[in-house]
Amino acid sequence: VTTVRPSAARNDHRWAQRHLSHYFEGDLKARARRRLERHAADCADCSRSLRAMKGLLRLLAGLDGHDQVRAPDSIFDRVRNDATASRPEPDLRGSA
Amino acid sequence: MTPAMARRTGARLPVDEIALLAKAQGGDADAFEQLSRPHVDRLFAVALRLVGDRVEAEDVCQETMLRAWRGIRRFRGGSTFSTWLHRIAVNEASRSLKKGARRPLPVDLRGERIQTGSTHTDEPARRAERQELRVALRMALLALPLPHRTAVVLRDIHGLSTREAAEAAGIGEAAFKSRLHDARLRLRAALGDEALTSASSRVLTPPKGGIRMAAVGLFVTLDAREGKEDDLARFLVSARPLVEQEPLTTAWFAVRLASTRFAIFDAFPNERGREAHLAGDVAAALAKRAPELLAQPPRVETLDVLADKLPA
Repeated sequence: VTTVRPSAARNDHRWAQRHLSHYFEGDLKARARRRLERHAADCADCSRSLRAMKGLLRLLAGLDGHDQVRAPDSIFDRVRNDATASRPEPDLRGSA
Repeated sequence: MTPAMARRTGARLPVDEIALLAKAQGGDADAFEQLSRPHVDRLFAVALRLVGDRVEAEDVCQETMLRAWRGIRRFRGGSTFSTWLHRIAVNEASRSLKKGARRPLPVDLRGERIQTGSTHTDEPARRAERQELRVALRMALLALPLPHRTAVVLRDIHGLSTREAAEAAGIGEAAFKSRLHDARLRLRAALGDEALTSASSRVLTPPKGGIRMAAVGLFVTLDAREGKEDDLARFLVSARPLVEQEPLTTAWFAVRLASTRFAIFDAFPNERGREAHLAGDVAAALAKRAPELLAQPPRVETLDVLADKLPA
């Protein structure tokens, strides 16, 4: 029977919206992926959601390369001070 | 340490790392530094995104390295060395933000320059659009609650695996995933689907109301004491560099309405931005100088921006 029952479509829609993030995490099994893609193909709202989420993730991933933050040299200052002030106790269990 | 543990320490040359780890655990600070060095740029970037302030991020990282150094003998390779460092950094960032709870929002992202050079031959308009979107994204990130920001920073910006990111955040994987999902939905809502889908589909369309850079504002009326008009004018001009440092202050004007009447008009993308500005350096400086410069306390009116034209 191929008649679309409104309630089933609504369920699909709610389910799809909840699993957008999982879709991109690769957390959905093949069957669930297909269910989401099939629904998104017919649902303007969900297909826009998928594209928006994809755009967001691409933008976030690109932020790192764009900002190229370098740590200042001072980052080890406290370690150096600490090391000259007192050496850490030797590990008596010796299992390192 | 077993070879399996060695593989999990996350270095390109695990044998070297094992040797360094052993030395560091024996009290060799130089070895500790060599062992940690490959991770510091990313740790600093993570800290900067979590606390939003360069000086504070530097402090967080110094403290992170100190704690790692003092606790190095407790590191047994249960997680990668990198993940272990991230866990400490996330804790330190959280501690630091709690300590500075007086300030409601991290502000200083000056050091994060947006590079305009792109490897693609995008049209200038398209580049400007993406740049604008990135600025809005940074603002939206800073407006997230810290646990949500942590999830996005670790997983989506710096690309840690879900397992590593969950470990660094100090929660289970399932809880981490649901937090991450929630955080992504909030960012998506803040930026708007229209702007995001145009970023994803590489179609050149200007963002139409997807990002409200100026949604709310303030109008502050200032009446100068007699004879203090020029001093007040100079003070307002001198406040500009302070405003420069506020990423959530989209537009700021100091104006003169009449010989003794001045005003500040400014606009923000959201309520958080407005609050941050009111709790920021300019307001503090003004409060300090008010008795000397003003005939009466500043009159602060909040406003909603109906329409605007901002520079690209």
